[in-house]
Amino acid sequence: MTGARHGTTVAGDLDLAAGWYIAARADTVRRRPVPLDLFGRQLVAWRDGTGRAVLMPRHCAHLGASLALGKVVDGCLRCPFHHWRYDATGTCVDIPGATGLTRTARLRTYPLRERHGYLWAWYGGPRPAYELPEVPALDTPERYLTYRFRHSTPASPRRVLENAFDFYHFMTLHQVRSREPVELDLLDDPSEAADNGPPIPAEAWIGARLRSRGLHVPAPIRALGLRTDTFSLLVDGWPGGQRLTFYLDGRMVAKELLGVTPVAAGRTVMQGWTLVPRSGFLPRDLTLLLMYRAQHWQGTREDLAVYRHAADVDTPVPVRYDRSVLRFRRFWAGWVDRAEATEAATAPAGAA
Amino acid sequence: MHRSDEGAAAPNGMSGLAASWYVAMPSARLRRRPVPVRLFGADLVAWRGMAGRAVVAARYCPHQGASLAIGAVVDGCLRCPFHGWRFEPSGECAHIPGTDRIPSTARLATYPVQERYGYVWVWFGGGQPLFDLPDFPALGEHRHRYAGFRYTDVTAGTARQLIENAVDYFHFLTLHGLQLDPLEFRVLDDPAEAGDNGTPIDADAFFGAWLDGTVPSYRWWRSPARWLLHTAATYGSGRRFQLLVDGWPGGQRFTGYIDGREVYKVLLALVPTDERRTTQVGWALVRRTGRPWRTLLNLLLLYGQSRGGTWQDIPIYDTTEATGGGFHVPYDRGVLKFRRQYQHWVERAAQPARGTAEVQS
Repeated sequence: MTGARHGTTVAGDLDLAAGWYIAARADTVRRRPVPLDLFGRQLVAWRDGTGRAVLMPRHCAHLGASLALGKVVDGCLRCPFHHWRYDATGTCVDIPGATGLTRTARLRTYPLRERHGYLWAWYGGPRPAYELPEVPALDTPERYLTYRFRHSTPASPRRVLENAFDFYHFMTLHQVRSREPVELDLLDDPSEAADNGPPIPAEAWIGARLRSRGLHVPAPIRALGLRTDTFSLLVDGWPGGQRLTFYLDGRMVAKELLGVTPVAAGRTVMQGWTLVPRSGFLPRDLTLLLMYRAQHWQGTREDLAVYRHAADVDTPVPVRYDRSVLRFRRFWAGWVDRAEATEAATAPAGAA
Repeated sequence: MHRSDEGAAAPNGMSGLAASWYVAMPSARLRRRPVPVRLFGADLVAWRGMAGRAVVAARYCPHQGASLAIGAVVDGCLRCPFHGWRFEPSGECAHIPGTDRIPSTARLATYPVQERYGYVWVWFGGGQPLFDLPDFPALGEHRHRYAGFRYTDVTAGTARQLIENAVDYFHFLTLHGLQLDPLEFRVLDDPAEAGDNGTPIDADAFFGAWLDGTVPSYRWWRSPARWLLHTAATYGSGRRFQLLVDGWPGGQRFTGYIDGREVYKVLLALVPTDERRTTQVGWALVRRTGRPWRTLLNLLLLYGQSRGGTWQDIPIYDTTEATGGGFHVPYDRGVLKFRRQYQHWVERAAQPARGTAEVQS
């Protein structure tokens, strides 16, 4: 195997868990190949003859030219330099001027799913350990008002995803005021998160319910007629993404899909969908959507400011309320180990 | 030739660069004032000493590190703007205001320099040049036989990649779309075989190749694009396309023939700024035909070919993973042979500088 250095950045730098991540918005990959920085690697995304997206290392197994400058010809990605062609499995199926070779050049491909307007890539070896979790609400978008969000941050994917499990910061950073403090219960069984969607396989799953009673609603919002006592949030997910449902007084008011794009060490994109259910009365729904969006924007702004200036602390000072965050980190670390083992056994390029 | 016989160790910020002659800048850019130069991954300064001789040296004053590039040239010496120390073209410190004793460590590392064909050439690889800068008679004693132009292209490719490109004949067919059938490609063993390019290059530093192919005859009304490409490639004067390439690790000379008659010559040299920043500079010349309009047409065609080809090559240079690839096929033999020889010269550049060790403080 001579191409072992191909497109590699030490995965350890990234401390990335094995899982499904958003590679790109699906509509950014069209007929032409697109260079993509993901997992700290230089990759290329393209679509084969049937329109199916493919994600593979960017540089040709021959002399390392960028396949992102290439062209899709007869459903294969053709290198611009010597016209080697790769099919959707990463196998080099044509080398002009060198027919009859007994060996075949190969580039790895990343398992890919196209769903909810995103391309989701599996990180951690050639075979996904489980299927991409479902978000049924996004399969019936006509029932919701929706918007997409997208933010870049230097924070690690872990920090972005553990944030929902850090219930204490809702009171301090986001200043949620209520009669009783926000509390968080870690869920024991994936079926407890049924409101978010079908259960995620238990070993890849972590979930929690956050609740706050006697919510203090600011006067201007109360004046709009919104009187509410209990706020709760159901969050569950896999390493790489989260599904969230928000409730006021037990009634679902919004849903979210949060996906993470690990671009490189120190560069993460958090993106996804927000959904507000349609009640049939558009002015009310629009008001709710705007209010939701405003608090989402404000909350994200506050989080991003912390992310921007944070450093990872190796041995954080333990406090009681960090139990759920530490639990998330153990969950994450287990999948980091799995990613390291499976990625080490996966050559980016090689011969067969 | 002006040589630094006892310069301090020359800065070397590039581990993958072969010992060789390279271009630092066009001669015209170097006038009375010192000029900052970024070369070999290091910060250098160039100036003209007595009799206008070009000098290339480390940029920072050994005293307190001020940039000599904002100094002045006084009596052929480079004067530091900060405390007025003066350095000779040899790198030696000639004068320190306020003291009579000049410490032996007060010296600049300098590089062997030559000026030729409108460029300032610098030897990289520590100490004395291991071979002479190859000549190019088309710009020397035969200059009157040619008409041409200079070119400059900045790339993010490595120096090796830019030289290797001419040896990678297969990319002429794929990237550049040339049809050559039959096609013969041969790596040359003997520098004398490239005599048309100039005086034979030192065998140790020489790498040469010969490409000989015939283009199919296209009918312009059937496939106009191909007809145009191939007619231009053969200067509309034949179907046999031959290319003689030879060079040293830092540059190449080319002669192009159509139906056995010489049509053009190219001299290619490199400015290795950093590991992933290399400028190719050179001369492209057509042989004068005796008919001015024909010479002009050939010149235009050469210009189109040179610029068109570079326009296709540069995006590849800019985005190739330097350490990438590794799956080779039979037609890569020439490239691999070139790489082995290149590596030999990389190792020679890494060896401790010959004849300078004793000068180290």
